Amino acid sequence: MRLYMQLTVLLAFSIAIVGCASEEKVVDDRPKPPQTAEQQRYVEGEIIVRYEDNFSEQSIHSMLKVHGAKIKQKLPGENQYLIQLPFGYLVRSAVPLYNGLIGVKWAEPNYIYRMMQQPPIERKPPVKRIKIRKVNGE
Amino acid sequence: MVNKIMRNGYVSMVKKFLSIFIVAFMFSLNANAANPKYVPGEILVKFKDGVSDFKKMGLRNSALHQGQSLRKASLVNTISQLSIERWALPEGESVETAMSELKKNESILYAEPNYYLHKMALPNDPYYVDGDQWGLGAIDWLDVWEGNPQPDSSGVTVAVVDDGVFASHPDLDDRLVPGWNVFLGDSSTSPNFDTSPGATHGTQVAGIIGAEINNNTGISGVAPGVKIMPILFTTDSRRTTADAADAFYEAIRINADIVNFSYGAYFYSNLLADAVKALEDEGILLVTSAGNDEVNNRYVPIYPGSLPNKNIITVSSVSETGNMTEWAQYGAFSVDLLAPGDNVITTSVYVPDDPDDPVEANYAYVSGTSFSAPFVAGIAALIKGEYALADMYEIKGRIMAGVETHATALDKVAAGGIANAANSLSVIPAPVLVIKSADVDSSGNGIIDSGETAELVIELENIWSDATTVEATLVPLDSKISIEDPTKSFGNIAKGGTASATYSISLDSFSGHRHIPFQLDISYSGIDLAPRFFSLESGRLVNEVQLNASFDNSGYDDMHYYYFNVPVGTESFSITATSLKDIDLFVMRGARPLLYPTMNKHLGGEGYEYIYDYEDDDDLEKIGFSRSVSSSGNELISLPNPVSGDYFVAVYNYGQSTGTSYTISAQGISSGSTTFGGGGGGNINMLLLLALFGFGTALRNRKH
Repeated sequence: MRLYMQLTVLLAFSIAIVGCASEEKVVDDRPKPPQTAEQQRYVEGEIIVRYEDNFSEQSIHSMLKVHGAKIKQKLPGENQYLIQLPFGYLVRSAVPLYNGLIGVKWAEPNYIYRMMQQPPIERKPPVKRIKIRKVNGE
Repeated sequence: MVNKIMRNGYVSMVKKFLSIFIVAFMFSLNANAANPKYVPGEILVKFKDGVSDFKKMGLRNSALHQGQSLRKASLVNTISQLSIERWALPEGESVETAMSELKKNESILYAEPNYYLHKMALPNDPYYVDGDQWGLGAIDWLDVWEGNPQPDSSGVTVAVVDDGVFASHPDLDDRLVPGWNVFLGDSSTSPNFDTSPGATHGTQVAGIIGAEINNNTGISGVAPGVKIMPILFTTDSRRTTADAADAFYEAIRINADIVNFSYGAYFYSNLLADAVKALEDEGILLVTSAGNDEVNNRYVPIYPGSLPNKNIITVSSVSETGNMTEWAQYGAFSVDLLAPGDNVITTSVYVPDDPDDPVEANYAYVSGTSFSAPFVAGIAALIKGEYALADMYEIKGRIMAGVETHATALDKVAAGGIANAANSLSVIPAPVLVIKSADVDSSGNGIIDSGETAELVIELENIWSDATTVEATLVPLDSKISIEDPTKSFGNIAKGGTASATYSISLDSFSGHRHIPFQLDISYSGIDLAPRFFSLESGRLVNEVQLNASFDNSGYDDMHYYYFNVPVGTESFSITATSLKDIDLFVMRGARPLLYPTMNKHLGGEGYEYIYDYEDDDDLEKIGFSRSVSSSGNELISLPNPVSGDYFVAVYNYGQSTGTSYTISAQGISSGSTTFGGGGGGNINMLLLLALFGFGTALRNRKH
């Protein structure tokens, strides 16, 4: 009985300590950046689909119609299309769906690329003369 | 007056003499493509005072060596005031041999080659003249420009796949050729600053590649005569796979020789991979950026730079100090080399706040691997200009073979150093062998453990000329490693081909985390090639054993990986990491957690933000991914009811402090409420831990 009471007290004490300590850990209080294109991984509302070679554009149109989607752009390469999803249809739902369709080789998000430049440098180049060239012989 | 006449005469004579040099220089432009430093077959001889003309003639006709025929060098002209004769040597006598002999003659003050006067060709571009273009110096560009003949890239076209190029920039306008706008489907590739006010990136990239030289304006590009073909694939609001792939196919259609693409994404795309393959099939080189998030691209691949195609050159950044830039991404198997990318000056555009004010051409200091890639694209254009028949293998081979190795890059990039234009143009054809992959313990979990002997499979890729009888000796640079039979044969490796060999390596017992460096000494047909360097990583968490580790002081050591085996019947486990500095902790089941620490300051914030390759909490649960990213150095991840297997742990040095030390430990609870190997259950400690994990888990779930 005495051991049980000791355990209970110890447990309560440790829970209180751990609770306080854990409270700090769950908050990521670092400043958050604005949601910009740099952070987006792909364009919402459109996906890229590569169809089997024997699928005509007409049959693709018909297939897309079933899902309320349409061709936004024919892409270079064989039977590759940028597909406009119906309003409200999420890319993360569409990609597995289309990858499971007959006639689809692969489907993927239209990923967004990032410029590989660092933040602008404050340092200004010294002023140099720039050659002025007349345009159109004026 | 007499003095003046004499001085004028002297000046006139010197001018005449210089003109002779220049004539010789002009004549030799087409005569020798090997960039000679002096006129072949000519020598300048300065006689001591009092040497008679008769004696001079005798020396011209003296025996080269005793017993040999008379020299019969002919006198081209004389500068009598300077007592210098310019001789044409007989056929077969080298300048070096004649100089060596004549210097010993008592009548001769000196004998020297008739050097070309290249200094007259120094660019007059103001930023170059004032020393602002440190990047050109770093790639040994002046040696190329002073070469004989000067480089001519006017027949080479580099496609700049970007946000357009400001067509009215006076340092670029003469270099631009019609490109393509993937949005409008026409060749209007100058940015529309009304819709894309920040579209200066392409103009900045283009200037590094090929800004006009000797126009008394701004800067000089790496390949100043090159044709720049802008292909506009991005606007402020759109920068996608579909448009990038479209741009690559356009580059093929309009016959680009080289493509520069200073962009990347952390996500693999079939469409982009197909477009890169299409470039490769056409033999078009794709020069791209390694990224600026200071992670190892081996573990965090970035595309297209990490694609395996043979036409890709992936470039990271070197700073003016000569060191790899701290924010640069790297990878001994996935990043090829370094080029200037920190604080480099280039062409740019000033877009005023007031839309009624005109947009103006200007110059800017810029940073990022965005600007490392065009330095290499420029070198590629120089090579293509010099060697018109060079294919993508030769261009890449020359670039890789020409690097100047640097200590901070040896095991960070495949070529181990910094791009060097002069070396790349002069290197002789030879195999260029790099390590394409080095996979250890592939039958296990891909990590060599303390005390383990494992197989290490090394794959070599030959970038340039065919190589026969390739051998490679693996040299451990860590005393804890021993290698059985360190020399292996790779057989013959044709240009563009690969071959593998398996080494047996053993790691002595150690505690903690360890980077394990290796050197690979490679030869073909008995000829030594440049050694290559790489590192493996080892770190295993054992239940209830606390490890002490620290990030090294190099500035490039930001992520440590461990693994932890969770046996069947585990009720829960936790990983704890503690540091005085800000570290973060990640765990994933079965593979290293993919996380992309993106610099927030890039977005106007502070520190880093993680981008995950997963959608939401459901996805994270499915793949067993957890994170602990508090602003302190106290991180805890607890997982109830874990699936058994290996869990991989990443500790990220969020605070970026060099030498950050930390402790890390793992604690598992088996179904019998015991720790693994805890030797019995039901004690007070276990109850306390259960309570702790219960709370930790609840709080973690609330956070997500």
